[in-house]
Amino acid sequence: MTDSNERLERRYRRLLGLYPRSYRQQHEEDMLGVLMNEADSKQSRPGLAQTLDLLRGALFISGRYWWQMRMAPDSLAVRHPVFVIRLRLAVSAWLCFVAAVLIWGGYYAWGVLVLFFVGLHLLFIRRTVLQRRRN
Amino acid sequence: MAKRGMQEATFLILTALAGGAQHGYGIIADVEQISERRVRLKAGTLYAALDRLRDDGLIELDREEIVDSRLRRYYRLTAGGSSTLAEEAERLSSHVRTALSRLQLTGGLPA
Repeated sequence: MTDSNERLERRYRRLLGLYPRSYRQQHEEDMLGVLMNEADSKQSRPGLAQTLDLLRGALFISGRYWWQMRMAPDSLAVRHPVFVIRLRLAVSAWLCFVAAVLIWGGYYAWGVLVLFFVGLHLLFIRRTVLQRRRN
Repeated sequence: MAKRGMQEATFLILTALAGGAQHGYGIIADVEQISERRVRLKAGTLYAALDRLRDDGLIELDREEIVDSRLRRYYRLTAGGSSTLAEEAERLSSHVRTALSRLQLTGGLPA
């Protein structure tokens, strides 16, 4: 392997470091094989398109792993769904109040940001309710 | 998934695996050939798709091999993956038939 290839591999490894650890343990070597196969012999750094694609993949897979972790059988949301739903509703109500104060005070961007988190809580509640109904 | 229609990349990956088990690079090369060099999957896209397809039970790990001191994981279509691909292919080809026959009626089809 040439010097520049070694550098390229190191850089790819750094990018792959953005993927979840458990995913990396299974797929890092495999992905690296594909990436190095695509590279030409003098290339020493990843191309822009390839980098952006890896970043997008990392975001996508991390999101899914995070979501699955939350819905794992031993997570709090699965063991005590009613408690978690009530807690989220309480937090949402409180955040709505905070958002209202912020928007009333003219801090529109901050208000919208807080409302975004309210939306996330509501999404989780919906998911938990659906999960319960299915079981 | 069948209701909303499948993304082209997903369809092509499943089509590549319908020909037999393949590893990452094999899928990229095959998809490029199937699409007549129009679609060249990048690693990030391919592996995100493989992860999702595996979760959905459409593909599974076939075997692992070490080639040139690198690990290769081969994937294959599951029974569910085959039937999902068949459904999607049927849906697409019915659209194609309709499009072609309408174009023929209105004379919009180049000879």
